[in-house]
Amino acid sequence: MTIVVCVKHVPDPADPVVLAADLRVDREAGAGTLSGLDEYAVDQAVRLRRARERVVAVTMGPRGARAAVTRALQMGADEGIVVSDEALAGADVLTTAAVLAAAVRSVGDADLVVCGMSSTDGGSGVVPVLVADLLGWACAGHAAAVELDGGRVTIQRDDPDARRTLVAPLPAVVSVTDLSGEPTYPSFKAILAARRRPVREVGLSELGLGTPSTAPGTRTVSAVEADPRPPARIVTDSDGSGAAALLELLAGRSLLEVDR
Amino acid sequence: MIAVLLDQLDSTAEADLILVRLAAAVDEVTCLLGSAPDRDRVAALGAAGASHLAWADLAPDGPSGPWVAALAALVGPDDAVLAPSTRAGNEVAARLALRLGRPLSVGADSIAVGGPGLVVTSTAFTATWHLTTELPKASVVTAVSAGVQVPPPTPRTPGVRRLELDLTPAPHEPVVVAAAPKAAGAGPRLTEAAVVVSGGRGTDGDFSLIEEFAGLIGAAVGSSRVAVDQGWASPERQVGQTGVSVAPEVYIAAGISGAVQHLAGMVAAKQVVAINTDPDAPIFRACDLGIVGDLHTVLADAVAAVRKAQPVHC
Repeated sequence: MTIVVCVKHVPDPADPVVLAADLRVDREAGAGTLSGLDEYAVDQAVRLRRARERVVAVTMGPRGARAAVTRALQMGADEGIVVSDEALAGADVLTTAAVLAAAVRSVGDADLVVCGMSSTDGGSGVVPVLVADLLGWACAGHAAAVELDGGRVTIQRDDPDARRTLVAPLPAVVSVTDLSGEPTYPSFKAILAARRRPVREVGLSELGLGTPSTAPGTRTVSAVEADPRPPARIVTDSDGSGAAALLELLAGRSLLEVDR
Repeated sequence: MIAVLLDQLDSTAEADLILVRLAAAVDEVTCLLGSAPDRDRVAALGAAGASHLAWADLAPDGPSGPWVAALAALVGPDDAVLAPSTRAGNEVAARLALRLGRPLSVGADSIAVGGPGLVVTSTAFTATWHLTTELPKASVVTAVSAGVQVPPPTPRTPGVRRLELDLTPAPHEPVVVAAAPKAAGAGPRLTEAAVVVSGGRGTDGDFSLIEEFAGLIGAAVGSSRVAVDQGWASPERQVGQTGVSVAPEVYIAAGISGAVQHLAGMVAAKQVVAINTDPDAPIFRACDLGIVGDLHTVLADAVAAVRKAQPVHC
């Protein structure tokens, strides 16, 4: 069997976002990176890999997106698939999920898909459950811990009121949070070894998919950059000046007057 | 009609009322509830603008499939759907949009009639951008509740009906096999507190002054991911993209460097105070008041000053 890990190449969150004329994120504008939360997904996929199994990293995106798969290979994935097609520029979550589901099917013997809980750019967090529904598989989302046990996957999920243990039958899609364990970073040897691992580049037709519908239904009509925050008032704490400034700000908003 | 998804595991009664008020400004509201509402709940939802209440036996901690099926049965071809933009709410909304072939918009902070049907606004990229999106009326939208402008309610007297449906989950839906309840904790909820005091790496694991100061002024305690990872704070305290989003009057970040993932959870705060020993910490570029200093010293001084001003409570 095979574990598929879905990865996304995103603009570096530390860089200012550049929007193209059509109000989509300009994904060629700056250096990108593997979406931070996907590192946890790759790490978990590699950790869960059973004997004689492989981990296949799948990404969808423009040419530069290959870097996300390269990073996954360096972190221990065995193979990569890059779905790149001009028709996919600005794809919404439903299109993205359809492409990823088709890529999972193309792997043939996958029984587990691992995703990060959300990307650091779009951030809606709904792609994993959509992939699961398109495949007709279970989805166990937002896992802080994942274990495989025979034909089932068991996850731990932190809800506001309780930590819950959930079980789903395989095949399944799991999304992991950043509490699933710090990813181990690749050694120089692992980085070199990754260069020999196969990466398949495919277009929509090779996945048996048509061009996505041109009427997506939602249309972003304006995107306005927020006013930059005025520079902060900086107080260097000395002899209680820090606490005084803090209490003054709270008192100015009547937040110290509540009788408790 | 606009159908509103309520009773999700990670939403609150207060957030549900905000959602109803947002929806009531768009169209006649039908709420989907997970259990039969008592008289007080009917009154509260009616006061928020709900016209109809439909309920079925749907466990908040159950799988999302039956919630999706119930909503699908509730909405007609021209109806909109509004769900909370929480993990559970977004999951139900996305599955519904896929099932019905409807457009999906996640994380709106306003929703209005306009354009081809609906106009929603949202923020993107750690609130550095404001987006306006048009959708047909028959779309699925999820909305945040923290810090949104809520229209004044138009009170209604809602009718209540039970949905007669087979809501047995599909055999592949995940099943909860164990639940370890969390202590409710003292003080206000993170999402509803006027002041949030959060601690990070700079606490070195000692949250006692943060808790003491928060307790004194009625604030909620939050934390950065590092503090949760280190076991210094429990996961439900985590503020950020992967944790809770908060929108208090004042957010106090104590010993938090200000990673972009943390900022994502607190950008809606009206005022941000940062306390950090490192004058170059990124948090100082994302705050209104920056205190360069040791958080333990600053908070100990603040606790002493507040206690002095409130001798009755010493």
